[in-house]
Amino acid sequence: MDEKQLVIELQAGDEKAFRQLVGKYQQQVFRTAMGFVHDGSEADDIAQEVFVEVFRSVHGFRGEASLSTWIYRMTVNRSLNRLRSRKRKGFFQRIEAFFQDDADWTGEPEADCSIHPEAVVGNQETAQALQQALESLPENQRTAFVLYHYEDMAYKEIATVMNVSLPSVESLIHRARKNLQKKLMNFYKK
Amino acid sequence: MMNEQHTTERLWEFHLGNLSEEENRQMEAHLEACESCLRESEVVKQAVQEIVVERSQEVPPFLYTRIQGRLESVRKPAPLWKRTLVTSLGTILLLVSIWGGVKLGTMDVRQTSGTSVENPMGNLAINEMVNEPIEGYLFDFK
Ligand SMILES: [Zn+2]
Repeated sequence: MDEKQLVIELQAGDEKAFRQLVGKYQQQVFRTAMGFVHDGSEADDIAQEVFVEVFRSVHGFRGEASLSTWIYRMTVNRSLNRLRSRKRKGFFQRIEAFFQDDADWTGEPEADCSIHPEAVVGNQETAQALQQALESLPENQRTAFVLYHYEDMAYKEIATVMNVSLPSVESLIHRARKNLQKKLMNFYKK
Repeated sequence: MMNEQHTTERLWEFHLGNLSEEENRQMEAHLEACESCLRESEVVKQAVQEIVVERSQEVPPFLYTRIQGRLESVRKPAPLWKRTLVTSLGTILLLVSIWGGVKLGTMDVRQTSGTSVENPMGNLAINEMVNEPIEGYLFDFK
């Protein structure tokens, strides 16, 4: 079934078409979410949210972007939202810690701006170092990096999903790589 | 030898396996000669390996079933005619059971008055509960 036909059937509420869509895009949605949240069950949760949103809003899909681009955008947005709420939670947890025990309060507003080797334990050291380094990147750098490295997307496709120019994508990926290298170098020096 | 942006991009693409044979050879030669690039290369190699591990994770099975579950809980309410039908059927059922209850109640009164004549032991259990001095029995330690 081609994409146009699939969209028509989805808009008609066809359950078989929806099942087909989930089968076709589930791995890409899951993998992209993994690139942001680095946690299987959270990525699974995001995938569910994305497909529920697809189901609910497909009637408004006008085909200005491809189905795949549309789904990627939703996945990126949901993943970034998830990380933002994680950050907020962390902030409130630090406030809570402040009221529970003054000694716990470091007064740092953004504790995850650098890698904390002390928080990294066991064999997963390098994995966690990379995750922390990725999380410290600005959102647009991280998005470009994830789409390229986790999804094997071409720069041109990334430009479409992110709605930016091709040179912007090149620059974002370059800066993301450079920043990651710097942060990881600092981590391994310690 | 190489400019900064070029080196960074080359290093990542080298570890991703995206360079041509010629470019690979150039990179290997450069890494043998340049210590600072070699250190960077180790870091990039580690990062690329971690990403490969993470992105190879499969979607947990039965994703579609979980999505269906979520959709069920937010499905639109049934159409008006269905809801009206269910409500009126429920009301009718309720009225019938009240009417039935009243009917049964009056039958019971007649039956009880009948049994008291035929079987004087019929209400024994109830009479016992009424007559038994329970509290007195429980606290009478003497
Ligand atoms: Zn060098």
